Amino acid sequence: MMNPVLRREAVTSLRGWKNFAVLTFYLGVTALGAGMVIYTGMFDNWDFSFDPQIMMVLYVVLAAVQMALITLTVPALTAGSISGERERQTLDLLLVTKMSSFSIVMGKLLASLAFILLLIVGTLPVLSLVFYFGGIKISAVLLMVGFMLMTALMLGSISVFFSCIFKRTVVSIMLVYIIMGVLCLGTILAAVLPLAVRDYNAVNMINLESEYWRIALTLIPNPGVAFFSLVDAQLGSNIVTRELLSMLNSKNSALNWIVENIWMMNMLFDAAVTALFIALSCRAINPVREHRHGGAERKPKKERKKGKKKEAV
Amino acid sequence: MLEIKDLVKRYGKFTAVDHLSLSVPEGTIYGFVGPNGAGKTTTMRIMAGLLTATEGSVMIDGIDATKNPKALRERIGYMPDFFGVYDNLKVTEYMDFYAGTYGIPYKERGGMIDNLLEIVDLTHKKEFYVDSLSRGMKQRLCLARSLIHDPSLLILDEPASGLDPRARVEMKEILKQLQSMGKTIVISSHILPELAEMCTQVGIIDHGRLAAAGSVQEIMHRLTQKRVIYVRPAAEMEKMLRILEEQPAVQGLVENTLDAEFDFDGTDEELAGILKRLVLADVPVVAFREKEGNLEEVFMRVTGGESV
Ligand SMILES: Nc1ncnc2c1ncn2[C@@H]1O[C@H](COP(=O)(O)OP(=O)(O)OP(=O)(O)O)[C@@H](O)[C@H]1O
Ligand SMILES: [Mg+2]
Repeated sequence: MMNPVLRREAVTSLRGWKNFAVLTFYLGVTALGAGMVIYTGMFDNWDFSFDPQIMMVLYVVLAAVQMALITLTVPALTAGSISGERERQTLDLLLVTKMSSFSIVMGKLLASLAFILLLIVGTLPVLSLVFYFGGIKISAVLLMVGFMLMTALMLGSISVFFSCIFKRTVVSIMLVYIIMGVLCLGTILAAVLPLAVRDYNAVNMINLESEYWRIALTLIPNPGVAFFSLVDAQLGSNIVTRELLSMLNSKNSALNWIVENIWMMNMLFDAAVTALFIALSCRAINPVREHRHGGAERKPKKERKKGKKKEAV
Repeated sequence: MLEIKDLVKRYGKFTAVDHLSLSVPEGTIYGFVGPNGAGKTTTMRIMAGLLTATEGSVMIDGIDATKNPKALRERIGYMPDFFGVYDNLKVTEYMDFYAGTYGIPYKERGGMIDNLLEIVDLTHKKEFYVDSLSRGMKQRLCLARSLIHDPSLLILDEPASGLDPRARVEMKEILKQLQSMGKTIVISSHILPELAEMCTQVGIIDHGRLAAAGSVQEIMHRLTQKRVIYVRPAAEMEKMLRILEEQPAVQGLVENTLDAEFDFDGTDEELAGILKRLVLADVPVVAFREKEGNLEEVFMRVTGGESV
């Protein structure tokens, strides 16, 4: 049986024409842009031959636009999921039902992301154009979509969590954008700034290997770095990976592997964050969770402590 | 059915519910009355598993509500004092949604929803959007929603608030019908007389404590020792009051524009004697009778000085 929360949101959001219009508009613009690039690309060459380079650029641009779209819209779409129910005074009605906190949180998360998922899936055909005109494998396109979904889930789960604990949706939105800023810019600053501050000779003095590790690990959570690392891996291009490799110039093969696959590390990181924040959200909305830690079971704990003391004496 | 023992709920230092104990037998409509801030909503939210008690226990059908929320949720239907509805959702879809949250299979929902809408008299609004319904209709819809999983205990927090007199009567009819279907109902209100008409038992709660409990008659009997006499003269008010004031058994004489009331502490013969005196003194008495115990007054007395 479909998650009732998700089902309800599907029913209500498919009803209006607005979402439909936005979807059509977005797909239209994407398709038009792609079409124009392909068209002009064809006529650039006198023999109507096709420069695969253009398709690559198109692929990267399309993917980057979607990536930006996700990071910018997911917080706004998700931050009101639980606090909205609270404001509308429907949350209690949901909490007294047999639905578990987990189903409620998942239903809310997926419902808020559903629209963005629809946009991503909707542009699959356009992305596949790239595949059609050569240059990239369909599996790579799917991997890219998977990567975006993972990023969306990560941001969404954080956003849902804030939505559980803050009454006001605006607060949640702000916090998620701040966290996103930390992930995108903060990590880069954290990785690079210590290098700039430190005296170069001093850097040579300290353990270089650990410094490399620090930089590589700090960059893993960065969605932008991960995105371009995935592009590099897929197209053999040189946007971040080689840069990082040469900058770190490490002989450690494990470290090099991580740097080459930073997108994969990032996806694992996102998965872990998603799981953590979903679990935290479930805890936050469960009204009777306290009885595990306080209330009814507090007494036995105290008694146990007393018992131990007595034994010790 | 429902057993509350020594229930305590504290918010920080403030005690909202203070060692409250009560028991509700199966099949009764139990009225929970008290002034604003008495702790009714707090108690009901604990019963519904939306709040944890600081101390004490709530047993429903032998299940500890605080320890086994899952089993509890199957058995209770809860209607909060304030609630909202979703936009863009039709009445049937609204019911269908909550049927889903209780895991009721798709196939069974249709008939069930029709039945419930019939009970709360909303069949004619089936295809309307829920946010377009009037307040009273929303209230009835919420009641239908709380019945969707066929709970044995209904917890209704002020279901009649904001309803017009006619809708109140209808709500009462619905609740009586539900009682005849075998449901146990706990219902809260600020107004004792309103509950007295339909409740088998009432509990009066004040400052988080149970001030009085039992059947309405019992409470009335226990709390009204004095007899209140109502007199209305056609004229000669001044003279009547003068005579009444002279009587030793007459206390607390209250003078209104057209009539008067007094507390009487004496035998029936003495009372008859007073009437005779009035008549002999040429006071044209048109009404002279014992007032029935006033629930409102009982309520005021029980719930202490501040609210009077
Ligand atoms: N979350 C809370 N934090 C602190 N105090 C609270 C909280 N909820 C309720 N209270 C206090 O507990 C007391 C009881 O409140 P409750 O809502 O149970 O009263 P009530 O009997 O339902 O009143 P009403 O008739 O106005 O609905 C009030 O004094 C209220 O201020
Ligand atoms: Mg209340």
